[in-house]
Amino acid sequence: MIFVAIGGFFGAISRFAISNWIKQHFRTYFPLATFCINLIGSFLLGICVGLGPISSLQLLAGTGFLGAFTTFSTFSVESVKLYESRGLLAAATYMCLSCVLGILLAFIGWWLMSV
Amino acid sequence: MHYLLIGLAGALGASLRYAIGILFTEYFNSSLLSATLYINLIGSLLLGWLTSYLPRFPNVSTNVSTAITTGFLGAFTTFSAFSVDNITLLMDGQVWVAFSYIILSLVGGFICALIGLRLGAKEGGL
Repeated sequence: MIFVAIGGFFGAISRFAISNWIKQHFRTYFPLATFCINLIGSFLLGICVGLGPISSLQLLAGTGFLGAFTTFSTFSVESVKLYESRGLLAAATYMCLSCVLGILLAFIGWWLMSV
Repeated sequence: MHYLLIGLAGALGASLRYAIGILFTEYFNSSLLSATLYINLIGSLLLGWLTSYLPRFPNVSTNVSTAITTGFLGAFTTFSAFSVDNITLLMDGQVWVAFSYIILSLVGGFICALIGLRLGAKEGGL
């Protein structure tokens, strides 16, 4: 449990810092910050899972850090906001892209570690 | 200071997610899909609600509200486990389970966030 908590501490802070940085440097109506964070996190968790069975390091880096680094609640709320401001197509594009690319990147991460 | 608060809230959110995950696999069988689905749906509902409800309280500092929303709920819900869960299901040949998991997460998360945002914006506030 302590490993998950420590990972979660740094995961949440990293997400906040990176998301602020992206929002400052790229001004767009598309929720780019959460999009990038979720994709990077999915890729890294794929690598983490590919590395082998559950260990304390995986609890720290995987469940704790990457679990807290990526977020689903912000993703859902942003999808609704995107729907309200830009319509259903924009929201559906954001959701489908995140989902397909997230799964694909997690697979690539896992595959890289298991070959 | 707000980094520390977000970190502490994040540690709490991640620990709660981990604990629910363990309890879930202990008490329910795996056919109910993963705990991540339910955690993500509840988190989306709560974040939607707080997003439109919290601004009514101008005396709640942004440090505290960011710690609860970005820190706690952000760390409680997770996208990476959702991606990896689906890889496991797809490689296991459970294409339909993966498909329902994806649809339930995406559409369910959207609807939960929408309901949350509407509830928080209502007169009574709940």
